[in-house]
Amino acid sequence: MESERNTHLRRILVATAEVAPTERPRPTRRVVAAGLAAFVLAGALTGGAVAVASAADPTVGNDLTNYATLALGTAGTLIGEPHTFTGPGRAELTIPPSPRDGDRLVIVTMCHANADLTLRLDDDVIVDGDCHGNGAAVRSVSRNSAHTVTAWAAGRYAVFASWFTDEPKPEASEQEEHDLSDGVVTREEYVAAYSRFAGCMAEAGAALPPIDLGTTSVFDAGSPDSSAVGLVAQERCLSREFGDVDRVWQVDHTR
Amino acid sequence: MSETYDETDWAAALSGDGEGFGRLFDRHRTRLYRHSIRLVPVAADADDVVAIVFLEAWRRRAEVRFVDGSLLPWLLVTATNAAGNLSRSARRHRALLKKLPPGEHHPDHAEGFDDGEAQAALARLSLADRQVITLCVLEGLSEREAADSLAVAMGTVKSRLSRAKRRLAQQFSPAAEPAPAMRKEAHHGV
Repeated sequence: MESERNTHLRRILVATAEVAPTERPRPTRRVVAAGLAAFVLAGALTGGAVAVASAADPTVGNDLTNYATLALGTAGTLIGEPHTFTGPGRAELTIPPSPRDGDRLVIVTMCHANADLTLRLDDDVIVDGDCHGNGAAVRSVSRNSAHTVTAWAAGRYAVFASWFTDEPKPEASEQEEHDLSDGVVTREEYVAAYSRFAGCMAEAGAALPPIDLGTTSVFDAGSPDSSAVGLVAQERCLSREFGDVDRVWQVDHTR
Repeated sequence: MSETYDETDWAAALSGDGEGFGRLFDRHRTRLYRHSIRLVPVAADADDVVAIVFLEAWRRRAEVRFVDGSLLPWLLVTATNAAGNLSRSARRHRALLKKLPPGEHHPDHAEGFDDGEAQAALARLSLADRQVITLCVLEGLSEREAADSLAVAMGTVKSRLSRAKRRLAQQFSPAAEPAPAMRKEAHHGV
């Protein structure tokens, strides 16, 4: 028989994945942020259409950037210009030395249906075989030299590579720590945490659209700014002010 | 094989399908609990380790790796690390841990994992040594699987394993009755 603890923990884990901030259109209870509404990752993963069509397609570049940001989570922040390729065919991405202190590369692949993919970073074979959906790999390499990502697949695919810095995301603010200390988030704490989050976003140059704090039951933490500035600001501001409070609130109030 | 679904479920979770994460929990929580209870003093701590491992899997999702399609080796490594410094590991997730009801523990079940002196000896090893012992000896992973899980060369696993076994052996007097953990080692042929 399932224990109460396992049932509760499972519910938290399911909610954690469902309320993750940047990767997908919001559940129907939330307002879908315009910048993220076009994000096709979910379609890619569930067998829907993937817009892997053209090396110049900016939508694919944005999707890959989004996925890389998502995959890094709190582990790091993308820096510099990302490099992308969409195929079929052979890709060769030359990654110049890191623009600053990052010494790790994140490489993301997005395959349409099943592709037989070969992916290398310099001489390191990362993938050699079936590829379906999305995948991310992280490698530590010298930041002072250029590196080469090569990929080949007969089917449609996209590959993305970018330096990132693993400078940790900010810890929760003292106020958020206090809000979470008793394991319960009150409505007042939830509203105040969102307000601090919105202030943090505005300060970073990625202001959120105004919402009615009095009537909205679950606040949308998605930024309409899907640029690197917006995504990075969102990750950092969520880490500091709102992410854990939002998770606890939603676990308690959305089922 | 369940492993073939781990990558699919993980990808689904990353796309916002929370049930994908739930299925991974369903598939691996029991094995993780059995693994964790060897590494902590009381059963309640093993409950916390299991929760922390899954919460950490999400927080550190860029670092998650699959070995032959299975997430289990990475989860086992993370559990070993979390159990090694439980108070620090729990700090980040304390708000959610506080929300969980206590686990249901049956004394005879916990006693089944009481490896006594061997468990104490294991706890005295360095983290690196404890990792290879738990993966290769207690969990029965191959050296290659352990190497993939730990992101180190297979030679590194071999040398760590040899060193760890030597250090474990040094902690027992020659006349002592072999402890249960040591007998498990013999079963795995390493």
